[in-house]
Amino acid sequence: MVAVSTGLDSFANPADITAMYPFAGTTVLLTIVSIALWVAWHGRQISDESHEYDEAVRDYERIGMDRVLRRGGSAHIADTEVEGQHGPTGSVAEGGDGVRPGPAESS
Amino acid sequence: MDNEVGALNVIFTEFYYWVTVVFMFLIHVGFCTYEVGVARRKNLQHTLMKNALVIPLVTMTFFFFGWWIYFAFPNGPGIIGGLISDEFTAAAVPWSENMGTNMQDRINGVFWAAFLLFSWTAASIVSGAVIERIRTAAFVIIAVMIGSVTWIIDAAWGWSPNGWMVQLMGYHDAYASGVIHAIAGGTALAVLLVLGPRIGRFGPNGEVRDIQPHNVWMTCLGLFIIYTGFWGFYAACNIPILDIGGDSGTFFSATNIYLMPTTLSAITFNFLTSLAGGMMVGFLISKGDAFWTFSGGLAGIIAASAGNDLYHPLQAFIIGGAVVAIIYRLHFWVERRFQLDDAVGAVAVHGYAGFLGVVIAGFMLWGYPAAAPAEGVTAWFTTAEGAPAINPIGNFIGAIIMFGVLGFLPAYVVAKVLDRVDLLRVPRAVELAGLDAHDYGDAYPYLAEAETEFEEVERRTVRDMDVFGNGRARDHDTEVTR
Repeated sequence: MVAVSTGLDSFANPADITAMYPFAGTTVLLTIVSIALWVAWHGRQISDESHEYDEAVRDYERIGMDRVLRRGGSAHIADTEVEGQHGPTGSVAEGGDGVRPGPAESS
Repeated sequence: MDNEVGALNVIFTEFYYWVTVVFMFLIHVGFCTYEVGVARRKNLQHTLMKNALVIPLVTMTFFFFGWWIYFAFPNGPGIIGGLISDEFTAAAVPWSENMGTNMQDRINGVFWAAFLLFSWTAASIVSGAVIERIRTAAFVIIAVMIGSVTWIIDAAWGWSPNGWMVQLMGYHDAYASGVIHAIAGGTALAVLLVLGPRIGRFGPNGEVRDIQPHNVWMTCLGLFIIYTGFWGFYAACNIPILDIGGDSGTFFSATNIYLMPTTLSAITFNFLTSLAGGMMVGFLISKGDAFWTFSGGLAGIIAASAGNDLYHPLQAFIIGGAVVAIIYRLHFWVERRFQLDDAVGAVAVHGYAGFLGVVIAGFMLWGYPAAAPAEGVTAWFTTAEGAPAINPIGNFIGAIIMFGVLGFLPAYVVAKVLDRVDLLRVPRAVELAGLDAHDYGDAYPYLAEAETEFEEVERRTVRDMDVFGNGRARDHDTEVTR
């Protein structure tokens, strides 16, 4: 049984071979799809980044910039506190649990 | 490839450029290392990822349209002719059979990659200047602009034997002082002007506050790696073997990009002596500062690169050193006078040094043939044999085109548009907290933090600033955290 071929089925005459990739003749379509993927990537990246920064600003406003700066961002402040379920002096932050002391506190 | 000599020539040339690509990859490794070293701890991962994204985005856009621009635009178009449409442009469009795995075209991809690595370099130069406050989304758009559009237009104009700047003006820039470095410096300057300095970089009375790199050793290591990659860059600017005998018979030699003679010996001498001149002056003038000694070496090479195919090694040495003395002072003068916050000195090291390098080459190589003459073009100045002649006017105007017309102007427009739609700069609160703080976290989670003098300034600054744009200058719960 002859196998299905997506392009070449012999390398016997290399001097006669031009395109070697499968599905030769689809390059215009490949180009259109690839350019669309590239443009879509930018769109998605802009959207994700804006969303990320909006979320960060909301968190920082809730936590307070002074506190954020002392703790190197919000990553080491418990999620529950960031979400506002504890008070601004939340006991989780004060008690440890992965909270890294800021420079002023550690000195 | 129907005989052994022809096959050997093709395969040697294909392998030669392939090796240059591998070496040039180190330039990007070096730039990423260098930039991350300069950045503060709170911005390390954002800094790395921003520059790393140059690789995929510029690669794909250079495949889509950058390579085609190089072959289509040498006439301007509209300056000495129209848009070129020939077998080379047909082979450079993304749907061409030559832009793929093809038994009859063994070298297109290797040439494409050699030029592409220059594209990465151009974009990466800009990346360092704008760290710690530009949005990644904005930077990658600017990277695509310079990497796949503006630099490759300048290469078609001034870095091709048939380019209109070469044929009409006698422009000469063998190792890309202007073609890569001046355009990248001009682009960085434009983006910096729109972007503005990092918060707290300049005091209320205009005093310049120093922001220390988080790791000076990493920064210098990055520059060392860039030096290494620069060898590949130099080699990629040459044609390794070509019959240049003309009327006198067969004579094989290396040539520069304009197909004019040079030798690997020449560029090896001159690369190293211009590096030496730059490092020696950089060390002296900065009083032994590691960052500026290494940057001085880089600027020394860049300054001599326009003519390093033909200079004497001691000329390259003197040019490299002299230009570094100028650009070092110019960097700090511009920083103070215009409050320009260039985090890595890219505008000076690449922009000013590249600009001056092109201008100096116009004087030093005055009267040398720039390229074989193209039919139907009358150069401003010609040699006795009728070839376009290198001259100071052509190279001075060429430097302005590289730095200003193709470097500064498009970048200024794009940066303004991005700024207008609020996509250029991260929010102030994010900048102050650090660009890693929310989504990446600390890059050194097991090392204790130590507050620097500048961070103390930032904490004081934030108390007087309307960080969130809500009309409240003071942080709403500052007192709680004291």
